[in-house]
Amino acid sequence: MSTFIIYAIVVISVILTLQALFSIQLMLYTWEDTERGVRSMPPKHLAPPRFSFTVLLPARAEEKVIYDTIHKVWNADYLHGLLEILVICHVSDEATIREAERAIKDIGSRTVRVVTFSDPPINKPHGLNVGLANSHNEIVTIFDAEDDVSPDIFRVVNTIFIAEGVNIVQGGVQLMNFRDHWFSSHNCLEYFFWFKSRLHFQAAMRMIPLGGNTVFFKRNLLDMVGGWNQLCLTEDAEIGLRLSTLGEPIRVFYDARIATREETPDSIEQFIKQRTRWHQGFLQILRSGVWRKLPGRKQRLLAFYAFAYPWFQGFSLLLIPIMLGIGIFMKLPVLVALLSFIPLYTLVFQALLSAYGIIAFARDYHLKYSLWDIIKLLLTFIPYQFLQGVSALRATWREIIGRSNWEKTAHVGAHRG
Amino acid sequence: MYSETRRDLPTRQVTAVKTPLPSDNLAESGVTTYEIESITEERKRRFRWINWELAIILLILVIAGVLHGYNMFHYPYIEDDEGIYSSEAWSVMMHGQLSPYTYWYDHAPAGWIFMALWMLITGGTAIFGQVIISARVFMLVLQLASVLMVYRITRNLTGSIFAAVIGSLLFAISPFGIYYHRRVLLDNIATFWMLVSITILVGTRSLTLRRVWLSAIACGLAVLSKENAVFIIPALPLLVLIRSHKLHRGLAIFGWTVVSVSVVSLYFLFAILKSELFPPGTLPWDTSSHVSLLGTLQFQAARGKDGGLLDLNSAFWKSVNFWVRGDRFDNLPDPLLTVAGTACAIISLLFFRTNQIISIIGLGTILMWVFLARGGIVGNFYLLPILPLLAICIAMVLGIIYNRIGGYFAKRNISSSVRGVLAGSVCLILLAGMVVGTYSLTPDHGTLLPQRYVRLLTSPQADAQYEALNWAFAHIPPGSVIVTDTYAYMDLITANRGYKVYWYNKPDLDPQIKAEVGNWNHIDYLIVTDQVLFDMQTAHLTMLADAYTHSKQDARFLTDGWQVSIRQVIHTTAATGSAVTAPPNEAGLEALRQPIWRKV
Repeated sequence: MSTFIIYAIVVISVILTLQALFSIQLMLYTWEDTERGVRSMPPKHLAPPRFSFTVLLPARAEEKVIYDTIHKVWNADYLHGLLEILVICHVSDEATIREAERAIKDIGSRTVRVVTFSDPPINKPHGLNVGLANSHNEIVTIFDAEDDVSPDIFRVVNTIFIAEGVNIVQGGVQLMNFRDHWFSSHNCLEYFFWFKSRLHFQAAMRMIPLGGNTVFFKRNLLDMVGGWNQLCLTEDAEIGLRLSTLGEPIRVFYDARIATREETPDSIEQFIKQRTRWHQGFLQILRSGVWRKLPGRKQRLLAFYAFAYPWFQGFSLLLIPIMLGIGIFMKLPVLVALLSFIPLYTLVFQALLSAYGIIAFARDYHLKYSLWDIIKLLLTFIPYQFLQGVSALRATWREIIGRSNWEKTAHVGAHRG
Repeated sequence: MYSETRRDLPTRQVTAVKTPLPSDNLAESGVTTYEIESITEERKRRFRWINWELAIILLILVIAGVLHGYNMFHYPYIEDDEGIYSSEAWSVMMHGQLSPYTYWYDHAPAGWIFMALWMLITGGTAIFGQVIISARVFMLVLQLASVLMVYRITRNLTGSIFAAVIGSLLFAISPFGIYYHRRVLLDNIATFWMLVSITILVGTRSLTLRRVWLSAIACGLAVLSKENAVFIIPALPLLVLIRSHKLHRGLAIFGWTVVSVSVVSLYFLFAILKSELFPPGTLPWDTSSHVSLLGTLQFQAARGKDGGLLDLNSAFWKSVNFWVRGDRFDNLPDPLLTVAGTACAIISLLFFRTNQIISIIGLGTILMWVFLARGGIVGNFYLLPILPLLAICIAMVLGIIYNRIGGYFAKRNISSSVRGVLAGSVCLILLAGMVVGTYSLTPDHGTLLPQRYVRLLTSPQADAQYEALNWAFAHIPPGSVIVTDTYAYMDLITANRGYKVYWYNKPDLDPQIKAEVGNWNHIDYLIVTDQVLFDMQTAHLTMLADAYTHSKQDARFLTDGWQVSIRQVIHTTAATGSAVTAPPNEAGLEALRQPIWRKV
């Protein structure tokens, strides 16, 4: 028995350590060398407008923010003749439609329109498909109703499409209100590391779950894959995966000055709902088996890793205290006990990296932070993992009992100062 | 916002194409930059000079290998520390134990774990016959690697092959160095890791994070090999600071620090897991007697306190005197590296504006000196980790002079070969000046230097030790209890003759062994060197002393000033059979906690 435990501990420690090292490597991919750092940036020299854009703005019960968002997008630095904005609502959502129409009236252009749909399901991918069918321009992009869109975004993306000959571009998205709740800072950092670093690795590997907004497609590509999957809870990741199976390269860029700004969920309940949706979406993707169609073995492995990650994370979170307990209370050979502590080291290292991350994040976005923010961040590192673990369990449960309705995240505009 | 014109490459080609780095990075990092040529031309050129340079490097390695390797089993004599470390390595390899006896945190164990790995790879005694021989070959391998790294570091910092040759040769032919590099010392292992750590940081034109992590791990291993290496640590994050690009600078420094501290913390974790971090009695529930990491550290920190730099009679100045002037016995000073190297380290600080990396290496060297001068125990071999840095400092300063003279003549359109000869001659004259100037500080003004090299290459000093062993195998009956200088321990143990063998100080200092041996009358043979006699008196090894006074000399071997005698203990009939087995007492435990310190 004890020999079995020893072997189990050795194997688990090694797996957890390797997993953590890989995860750290992804977290820090962009910083590895200057070349990567420079390449993750948007182009520095902007070309004159050439491509025409359709902006899809799916909105549901967003009457508080939609007016401003439409204005922000419309006022971006780009030729109005090359810009089309479609606000997509369910017919029943009268408040949002009213607010959107008020904005359209103020703008007074025929290229800004509200598109409605009445058939189920009422969810984002359905809205996107409706929007796509009603759009006219060469490049289709998505913003969420609460997004703060950079005025430079269209010129930057236009330049990338001209200069680099790619068909899909993913821009940075960043949660901003890192001081609002104890979990906000972790949530902001997830976005920071995801869009600044990890996505670039996945782009280089040609296996990329796309983000939900600030993503730009050539419309023929969307037509070719038949738009978004209306049954998937994470339609953004799903379409990214399907495009990856075609071997389509995706350019990712991140720059604090032109990232799309969003807000964190405004309560733990909202957070868990949102995270449950993501995890469940990932689980759906994993079950669908689309990832097996990826051309390379490494890509398939990475896809499996990426979509199974939530469970892996929950699992390792459970294991670490068990291992520590065994390491402390059982008389193990010292070397094995030492080994069982290595995963903990990597966890501490990740926590410290997030402390570094908050400093870098605040510096990039010119935000104020205090020492207390950092201490709080370190103290809540484990509880935050716990929230994710709970969401993963909840997602698994919902998937098992077959409940897959869209639990919508509420938006209040906390990121708009 | 968008000032600089830059066209990014299509993503399709991103993985395949290497873009040149922004030039500000290179200038900022202080590494010598070369003009970027077309790829084929550069490759052709590199092909040509790599072969040429490769020949030079091989020549240097041959010189280093011959000077170190030739006669290395016979000179110097095998010191007791060497016996200890190599038997600890053996113990790790064979039994997974850090020591044949209770490990009491005398040193962090990474050094001999590394050596155990070497023995594992080379098949234990299979290739080299004896454990100590295997260990000394390991030292040769480490030394060759170290010479190579000194070359690499100097080459990268100055961009000059000339300087790299000078640096690596000064390090390889140092008479002090050859003597101590042959010895199986933890300092040599720590020096190796320290050089690895530096080489990784300065080895490429641009620093990657992966290099930062590896460097930090190597630095942690250096500290875990010998604690002294901890004093190079302040200089290394500075190197990271200068070498990294602003895109990842903060992360690099932060990560380097966290990783190296984590590696070192494993040592403390190890002690915690064994419940041996605190001395007995510190924690209320911890009353049993045991060894402890902090107890040993405390003891070490308190040892041999003196005025250091400010007190001319301190151990520090005595050692400096040895390094500059030599002593009566082995007489292997290195005034060139000690004096001129330190001077060059100070001079290198002057280049802080133009070449920060060079200044930081100089600063690291000075920090190591500051540690020695702090006023504590200083052994003669404490110079070892500083030695390569001193050689690098001299080479860097000469390299700068070489480059400046070359640049001066280049402006006046003088051909490159003439420039090289002119600049090289000036530097060699300067070096010769340093040699003459520093060796004039020795009592013999350096005239005995050739003789010292001859001694390094011909002295049979250790032969007495091998002869004594052969005699022991021929004359000591199987099953005897032998207390020995540690040099012979592994050979006696692995001889498969059923000997019960103990390190000479363990019957007095290790309560467990004390109980096992009982009293002096149970010891049959003593293998004694001057070291054993010295410790017997200074550390009050009473059981050993009793055995010694009741013994007669069976054989004595002496070569080149080092002697070994084998003594048979004459048992008294009264005591035999009714041996009083003394239980471990308080005094014994106290002694274990405060063990004798041989020569540090």
